[in-house]
Amino acid sequence: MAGCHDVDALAAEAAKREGAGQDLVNGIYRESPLLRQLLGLCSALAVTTTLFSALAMSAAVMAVLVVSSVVVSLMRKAIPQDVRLPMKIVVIATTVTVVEQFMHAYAHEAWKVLGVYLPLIVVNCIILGRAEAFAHTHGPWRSAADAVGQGLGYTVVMAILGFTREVLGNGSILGLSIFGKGFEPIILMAMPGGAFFLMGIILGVASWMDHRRERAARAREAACVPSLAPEGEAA
Amino acid sequence: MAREGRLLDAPPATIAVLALTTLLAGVLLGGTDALTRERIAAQIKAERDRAARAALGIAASGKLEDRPFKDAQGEVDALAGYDGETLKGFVYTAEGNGYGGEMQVLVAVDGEGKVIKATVLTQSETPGLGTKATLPGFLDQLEGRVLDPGLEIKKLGGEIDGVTGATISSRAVLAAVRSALELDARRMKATGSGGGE
Repeated sequence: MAGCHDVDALAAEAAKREGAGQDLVNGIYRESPLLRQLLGLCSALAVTTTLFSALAMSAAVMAVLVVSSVVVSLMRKAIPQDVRLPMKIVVIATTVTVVEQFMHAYAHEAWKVLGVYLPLIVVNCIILGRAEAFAHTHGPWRSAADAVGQGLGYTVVMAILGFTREVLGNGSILGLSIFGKGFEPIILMAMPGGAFFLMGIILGVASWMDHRRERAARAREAACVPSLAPEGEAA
Repeated sequence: MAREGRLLDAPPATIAVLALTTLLAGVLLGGTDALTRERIAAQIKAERDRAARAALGIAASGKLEDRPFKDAQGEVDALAGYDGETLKGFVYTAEGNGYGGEMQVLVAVDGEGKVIKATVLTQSETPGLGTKATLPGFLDQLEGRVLDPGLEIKKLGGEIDGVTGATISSRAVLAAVRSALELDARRMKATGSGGGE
């Protein structure tokens, strides 16, 4: 059992956790914007009535996240403390407007289906939250990785919401009817109430998965206890 | 950490950085607009043409012609739609004041001033309530109607069944349809013709 609390092994593991790769992976689950940080829920619940709009929104959020995080990161040494927030908001608002214009021009269907929630990405807490919490204090490469990770974490939950709400509330996937004419959709699923319930279930499942992981980790710890004895006696 | 005072009390560096950033942002936005303006206009037009063809009931290949005209009251944009070589009707966009704001309605009118079909293009009505006024259940009643006193909800002496609980939305759509029919009447007077060239 001597290997359980091998200090060198632990240090090596901790070192592995730093870096752009880990930043990216963190965003997908451990620091998921929707599941962990519970940010940006309003628009997430509003645009997931169909899988298509959920994916369209995810793409837009990802684009804005990456661009604004990288820009803020590049500018971080030049941003005076006093005007930190206005500067970041200028960056984010410009990015969203540019993304919006390009979507209107080249991805018209996606633009139409998002409606007012596209410009509202400016005030989506995920974007500003990431700019403040990460991009402001890390280099552009890591900020980009973090942004992509957050975007992926967002997309995963959005896809689950959109898929479920469309199948149950509309009987279709990406507009293609899958149940035929006799299907009576669960209208609640197409409305905000259904989105809330579904989100609650997803959060519950995520929480349960975490508890299981924690219990497994504690069980492993308990099995290692004997090796603690020699170092346990502090001065 | 909060600094009191006016912006002009801030160090020059702060002002310079802010100014530079917003200047760059402005340039970027202007550039994006220049790059996308044409495409966006084309998209909007394609969207309108799609809706117009659907309302007229003609194929996607049906010819659409802009037929603006001018009369004593001003200029009007009318869109003529053809099924092959035969003129099917004219399409107008008109507005009505809905519950949540302006509602834009596209109305296709045949050569005799009768409604072929009406569709709601934009609206911000209450979902599930006012939005029912955008559904076929309500709009189907307008097919074949002309500009006469019957084109109002029953509650107010007309012949149309309004949406229960959404009187304002229903009336807004009807007001827009009436406007469109009025525009068509003006067209007939201005061009002195019903359907033909």
